[in-house]
Amino acid sequence: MNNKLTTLIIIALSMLTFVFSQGGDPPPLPGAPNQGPISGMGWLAMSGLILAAKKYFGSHKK
Amino acid sequence: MIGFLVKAGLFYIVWQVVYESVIYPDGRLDQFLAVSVAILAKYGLALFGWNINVWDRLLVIDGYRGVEVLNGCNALTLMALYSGFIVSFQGPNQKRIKYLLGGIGIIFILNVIRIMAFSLATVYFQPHWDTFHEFSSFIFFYPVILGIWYQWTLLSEENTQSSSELSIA
Repeated sequence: MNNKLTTLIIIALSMLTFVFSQGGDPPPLPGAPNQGPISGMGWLAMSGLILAAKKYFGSHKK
Repeated sequence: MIGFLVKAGLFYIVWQVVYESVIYPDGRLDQFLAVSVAILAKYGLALFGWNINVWDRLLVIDGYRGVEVLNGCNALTLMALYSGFIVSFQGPNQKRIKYLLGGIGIIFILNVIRIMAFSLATVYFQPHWDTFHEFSSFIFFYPVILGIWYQWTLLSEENTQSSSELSIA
């Protein structure tokens, strides 16, 4: 357990090092950068609702 | 079912309030997720020989349009949506924590892979980038999340059955 915790802490710290080690300004780009927000979360929420309803009503039929 | 809906509804209301009033104004969690995803995507692509530059949330392959990881791209909302189902649907509490942490970790890794794919898309099919982006969540996230949610419902079913058997015995 302690070993796992130590490994996790080391990984987290090394990630922080990566995060804070970046600097400088980006070069001029050929166009505005692409931006990728996550789309369609309503569909996922709807699917989760259907899954829950199916499980609930399915198990109550038995 | 009503219990699930009430719990899920409450979870998302509380999440929205906490996000809008604490997490978003503070900005550190969003920033950490976005920048760490960008940097891990850079190192992921470096494994395949790509030389990618990262400035804060911006990933750029020389000569091509970059990819910017905004707050909406860092998968924090998706992690909340995922967690809402696991928290609200009945199941064993000890495994619930494993499913929560494991699922959030998987979503984070999938987002790194998704951003890697976005960077490569700027090179190979920039004209179709928007279409690729539109469907990317359905390719990278949703099948996996639905799969884990389904596993969770099976686990909860087993748990309910075994506890009812125990009570009969």
